[in-house]
Amino acid sequence: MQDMLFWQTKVKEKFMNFPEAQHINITQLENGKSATVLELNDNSDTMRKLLAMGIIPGAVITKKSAIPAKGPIILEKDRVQFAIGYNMAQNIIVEPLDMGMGISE
Amino acid sequence: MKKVILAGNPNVGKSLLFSRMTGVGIVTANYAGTTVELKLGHYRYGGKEYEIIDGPGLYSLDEYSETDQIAIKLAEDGDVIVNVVDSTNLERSLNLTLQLLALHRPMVVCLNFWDDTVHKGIAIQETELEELLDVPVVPVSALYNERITELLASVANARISKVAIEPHEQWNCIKRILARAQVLKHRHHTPLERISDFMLHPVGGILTAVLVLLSTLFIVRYMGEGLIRYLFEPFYFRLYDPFVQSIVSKIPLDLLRGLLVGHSADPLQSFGILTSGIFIALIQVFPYFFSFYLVFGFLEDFGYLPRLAVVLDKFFHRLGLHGYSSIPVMLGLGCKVPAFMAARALTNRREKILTIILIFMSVPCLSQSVMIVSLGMRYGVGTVLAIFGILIASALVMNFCLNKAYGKGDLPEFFTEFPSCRIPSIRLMANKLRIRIIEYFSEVLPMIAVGVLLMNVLNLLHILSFITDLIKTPVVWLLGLPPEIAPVMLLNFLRKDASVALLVPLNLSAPQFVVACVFLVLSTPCVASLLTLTKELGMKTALKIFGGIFMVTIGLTAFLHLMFTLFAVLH
Repeated sequence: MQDMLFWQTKVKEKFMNFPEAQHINITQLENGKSATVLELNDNSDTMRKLLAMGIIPGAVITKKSAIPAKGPIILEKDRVQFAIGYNMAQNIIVEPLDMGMGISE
Repeated sequence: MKKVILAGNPNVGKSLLFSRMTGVGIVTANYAGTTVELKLGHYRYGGKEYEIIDGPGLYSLDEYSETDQIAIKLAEDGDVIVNVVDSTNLERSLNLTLQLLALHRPMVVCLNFWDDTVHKGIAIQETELEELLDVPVVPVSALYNERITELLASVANARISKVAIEPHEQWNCIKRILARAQVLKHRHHTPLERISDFMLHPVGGILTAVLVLLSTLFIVRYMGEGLIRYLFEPFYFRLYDPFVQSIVSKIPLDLLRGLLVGHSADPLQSFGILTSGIFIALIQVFPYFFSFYLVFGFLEDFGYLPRLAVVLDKFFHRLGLHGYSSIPVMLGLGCKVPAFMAARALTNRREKILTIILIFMSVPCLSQSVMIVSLGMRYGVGTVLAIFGILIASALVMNFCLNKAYGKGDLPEFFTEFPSCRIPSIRLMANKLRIRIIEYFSEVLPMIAVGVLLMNVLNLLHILSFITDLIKTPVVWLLGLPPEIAPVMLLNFLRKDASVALLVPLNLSAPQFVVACVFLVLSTPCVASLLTLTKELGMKTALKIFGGIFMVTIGLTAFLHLMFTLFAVLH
């Protein structure tokens, strides 16, 4: 058990250079992982569209997929799927839920 | 007469509902932004006459693009608002619903896609929802034409809600409503959702795009060819032509006979209204038109187009556009008119202009493509490929340069919502195809008649020979084409497919054919697309665009001629 925990911490340190509470933008979120929205750092028309769809601080979203080479990011919220541009995704700060490997915070 | 407004998020089925309520057929599709202009209709219910208006979809009442403003103005002006809601997506829809309630207008909430809720594991208590929102709530299925009468009846009972919500309380309020009126059951992924996931997967998306593109080309080609060979050509040569010839030969006027059936037995060369006109429009082009819109309609209703847009986003970025522009561009493979109209859904002007230029320059419309392929094959595949290659390359270079000239910065961020993938309804697809076919024939037949008539009149008045004399020198020197091509260039403005067919009697060499086709595709738009573009962007911008493209065309075709000549000299 101890071993296991040690191993997991090692993996975490190696692959994700973040401290415990992780504030990352959506482009850094792994595909298939869910996260809570913390901030929307942009005031564009498109961002307001997202607000109208309920992408507001506190909302839980899932990153479904990402087109390579800084292509659009595909997200899901409450069974609605949509895609946003890479630049906009960088302006959405989230905190990942369920940090992989079964460690809950 | 009461004015009923359909308001709701994009792609919640407003247009289909409109169609069901009024019995008016309109083109619908499974992606956001199909409706770009207002549609007016009427219906009678309970002895009263209602006017009903369908507009573009909205995310919220804060305005964004041109189309959004139209929709907002509309909602504020109506006597009754019918708020169309996607019942499989209640949470997102309710934001707009609450904003609409705050307008203090008589309102009804219509829960569309009711048929979809069961297998998606969603249960909505409509009576509870009705109580919470304080307006009538009616579940319907526009797709299966269910409970439309109940909706019509409820419009009479529309009322102003007494619910008042502070804007900052909006989302908490939605949560409370959902907690009481909706139960979500856990369920497994449906096969269609698995397909959707695959289409959005980084690798799967590209594989699907290639597969879809190839199978579209394959189906359109073989289906079109098959229809022509086994149905349309036998019909023309065995039934239609002998019949028309026997009737026309009884007409004593030589002039009229020439106008109707021309002077050659080859339907591509005679240029009579009833022979060439019908042969080109009905026998050569229509079978491909039918096949193309059959496949395209399927892709539209399946919900594939926005998924393709995401995959193409990277590529369009290099042209200063983003993926959503790919939808109008794809529509442009069929006809430029609906493509230019679809460009209206793009939010910013620069994006609109770049997209329109790409639509116009990259690929000719379906009618003209068909004629270029069928006549170009006489010279070989290389010639046909050269024409399309030159067109696409010049469109890309043009867009690339314009994008650089415009400077970067004001490209709005990419955003698109994905509709659920659906198995298209055969009846809806058939209906859409029917509308498109009617539009095709109501435009094609008069244009051909006018075109042929005009050519003959100009010829009689010696205006043609005058114009031919006028442009003889530049045409021969710059483009290396025979002076007889002048009238063809004029006809190009009326029917772009017929103008390519008119190249046949000129007996052009392969390089000449390439130059002539590139010239005919790019130099002028047809009347219909010119009018559409004028409506979209204003006369000044439309003329600037086409003037600019005309200059580029002359430069490009002169350059091609020079290259071909040099090549010939060197060999």
